[in-house]
Amino acid sequence: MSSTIAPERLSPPPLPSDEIVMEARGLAKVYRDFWGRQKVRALKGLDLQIRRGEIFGLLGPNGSGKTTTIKLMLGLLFPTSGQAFVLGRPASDVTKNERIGYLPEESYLYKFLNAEETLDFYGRLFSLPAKVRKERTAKLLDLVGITTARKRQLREYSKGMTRRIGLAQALINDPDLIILDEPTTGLDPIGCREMKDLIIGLKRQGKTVLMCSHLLADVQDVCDRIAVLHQGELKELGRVDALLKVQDVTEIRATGISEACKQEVLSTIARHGGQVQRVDHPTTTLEDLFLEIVHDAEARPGRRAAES
Amino acid sequence: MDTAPLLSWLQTVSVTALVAVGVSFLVSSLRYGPLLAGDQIYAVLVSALGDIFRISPRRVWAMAGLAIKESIRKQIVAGLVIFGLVLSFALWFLDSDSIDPGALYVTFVMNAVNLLILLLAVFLAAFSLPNDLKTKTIYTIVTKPVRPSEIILGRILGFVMVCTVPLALMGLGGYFFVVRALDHTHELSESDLRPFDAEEIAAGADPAGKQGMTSISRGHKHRVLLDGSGHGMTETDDARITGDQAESYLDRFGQSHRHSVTPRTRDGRTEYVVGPPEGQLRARVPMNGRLTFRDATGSVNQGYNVGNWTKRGYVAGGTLSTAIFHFESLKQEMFPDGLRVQLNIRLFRTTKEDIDKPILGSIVLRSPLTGLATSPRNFAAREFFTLDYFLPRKMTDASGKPIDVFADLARDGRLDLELQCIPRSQFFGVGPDDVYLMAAERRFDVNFAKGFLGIWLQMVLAVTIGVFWSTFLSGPVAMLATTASIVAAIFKPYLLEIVRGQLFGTAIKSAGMVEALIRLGTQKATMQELEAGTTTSVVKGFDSGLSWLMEGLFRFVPDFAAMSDAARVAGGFDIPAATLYAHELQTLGFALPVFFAAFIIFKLTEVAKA
Repeated sequence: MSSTIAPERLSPPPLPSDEIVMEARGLAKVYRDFWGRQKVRALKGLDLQIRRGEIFGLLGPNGSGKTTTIKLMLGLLFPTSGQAFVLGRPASDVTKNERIGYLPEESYLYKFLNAEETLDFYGRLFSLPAKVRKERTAKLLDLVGITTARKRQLREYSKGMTRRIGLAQALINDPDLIILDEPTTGLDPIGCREMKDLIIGLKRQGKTVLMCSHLLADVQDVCDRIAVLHQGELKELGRVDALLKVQDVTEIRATGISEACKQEVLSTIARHGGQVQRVDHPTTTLEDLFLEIVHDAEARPGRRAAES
Repeated sequence: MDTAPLLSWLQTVSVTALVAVGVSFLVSSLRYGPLLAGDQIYAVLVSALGDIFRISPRRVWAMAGLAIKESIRKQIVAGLVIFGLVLSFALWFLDSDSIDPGALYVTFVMNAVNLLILLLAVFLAAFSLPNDLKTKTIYTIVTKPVRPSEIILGRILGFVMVCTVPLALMGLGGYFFVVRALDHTHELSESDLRPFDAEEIAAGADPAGKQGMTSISRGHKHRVLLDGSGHGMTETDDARITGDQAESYLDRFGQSHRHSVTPRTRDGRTEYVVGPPEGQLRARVPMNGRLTFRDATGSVNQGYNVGNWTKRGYVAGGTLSTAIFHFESLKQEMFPDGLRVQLNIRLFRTTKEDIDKPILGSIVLRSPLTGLATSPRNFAAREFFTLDYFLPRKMTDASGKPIDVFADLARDGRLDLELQCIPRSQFFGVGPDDVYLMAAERRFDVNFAKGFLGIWLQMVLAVTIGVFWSTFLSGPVAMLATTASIVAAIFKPYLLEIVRGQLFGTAIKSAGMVEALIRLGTQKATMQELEAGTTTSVVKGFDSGLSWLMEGLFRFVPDFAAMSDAARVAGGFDIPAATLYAHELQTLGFALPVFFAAFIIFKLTEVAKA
């Protein structure tokens, strides 16, 4: 999955422009039962703007209104009040879909089609000519790493593979705006990393990505800006780095220093009136450890681990 | 052209559309206020028109292709084939010795296929869209630039194509089954034959020829006439020759047949080979006339009513009572040698006698323009048999003067055919379709295919109706609703009779729902009047209101009975082009508004609503 993305990481990402590709104005959704009685107020007057070229994350616990927001933006639901605009058009206009790619929460695909047929079918819905469909299908199957399983019906696919083909169908029209609902669910750590790399790769191609997730690490790794929703209300909105930066704490990382040197640094801090909060050796993340082991195992097959 | 159905259609469609818009406006007004509601409805209508006029064939085809793949991969059609095979065992129980096996087989095949294909259409159409909504696969469809109209049209088209393949296969299989099942031969040996006697030779038979009877096969045998060389044809089942009139009886539905006979010499002995049946499956093109009656005194009436419930009028024998068929636009090219008339006459006897004995009648051709008429020609009518009667072009009038049918009688294309019953106290019964001129004979296989076109059109409607219900009902409920619609469509004429209170004919109005309930409780028969009073008027008023409402609802139900041509094909009559156009118009008239309604409903559906 990462092979075609790697070269693009070398170039600096284009800066987000001021052009607004998605906008919610006082967007609200009330779910009602059959008799029209109010059941849930899933979204309460959301105002939001997403600019071209950024990766925007919608964060929140389960039932906070993330998926409802996405469905309203896509026209899968009709707002109770307020308006949604996508690429300058109302959300209810089907022509907006020409430049949108959407990966739903679970990949809702036709299980009786195989991977190739799936991509070909969705390509037809964009009125792509046969030649283009064929080229894109081959390219995307390679990108998401299921070329070998391209003739198998989707009913035989594992959850991770279904996720990958789901992503491929979202990219079949080479969209400008990609909407990903929980993109990393069902993926193993390698798949997660590849997905994240791919999202960053899309940004480098100048595309706008809206993703929602409740996995904070994923959002932190890739998003430029985030919005935090809770019980249908917008609680926080801003740049990830700005939001996460702890302004009055300084972290110094160094290698190859002696105990004496360490004591000297500590005393210098004390002399200047600073307060040392913690001195220890950093631990790696489990994700990094896992990836290292897998890469190591691929390089040297047959080696078994002993408990350390 | 009759414009009444078109006007009724326009009325139904426009009233429904207005009611739909009105109700939407009311509902919307309650929630958003009248101004915003008006805006919304206007926006929906404008965008709906856009959806209709910007349909992309490529996307529709993609959706249709998906529907086809789904049906094939989910092996829905395979299930049907198995069901069809099981049903075909029913053929064992069809009576091959019946008077008219051809009609029996054709009716069975066409009705069975009709039922099967409607069943398949219901299953396919009713479950697909609800399934997509349930599994949420619809999310990945509607987030592509696909219009709701394309999704609905694609579905309809796909399922129509899926159903067309088994329909064509079953049609082909059915045709070969009918042809094979009817195939039979008879045995004929030298000992079955005898030479003609002197009287027969005097009447024109070949002196060197022979005659005899074949063996019995499939419940019938044939009389054989052979020429001197031993070649010849069998007669139809009940053929007889009377003088110069080539008059022959066909069996009940006119599906009679003949066999050719050829001699063959083996070991010095002559054997006869009886060929396959000919003329068993036919497609006759009848030319019908307008029917009027004159009573015993010669004045116009409806024909006598002999008491039994019937659409026929009766002619009293031995009086001036006459049945007159008025033919129009008669052309010489259609009947170059003379007129072939087929008569299906019901007999009503008021004296006790042999039931099989024919009753004599007479035919006169008259010019409505000049009143000039031919001398009466006699014929013998038999109950339940079609009489094939030939009237040559050159005939004579009552004074013996020669008359040409076209030059003297039908100069303006109009010709009256008058039928009278000769013996006193016997009656002839005829209806408008019972006597007709044989304008032409067409190919049976083509006619069979035309019959299947009617089935195909019913299937198209069934698919459209199924897709319509499935846009807002869950799979099983949509299937029930579709099945109910189709049952109503198949039995529409009967159900309309109930609704209109015409179960016992137009003369007596049968009771409505509440009245029937009261009659059940009070044990009052239909013929007994209810006591006049407020209760009775309220009950009758309620019933007629209900009847009016139900009759209105039936405007939304297509008439499958009218679209089924099985009886016509089995009866050996050609399906006229006008009938096919009528079927096509009916299909279009229903399918278009139903499609539009389905697509509007789907457009207004929140697909992600849990």
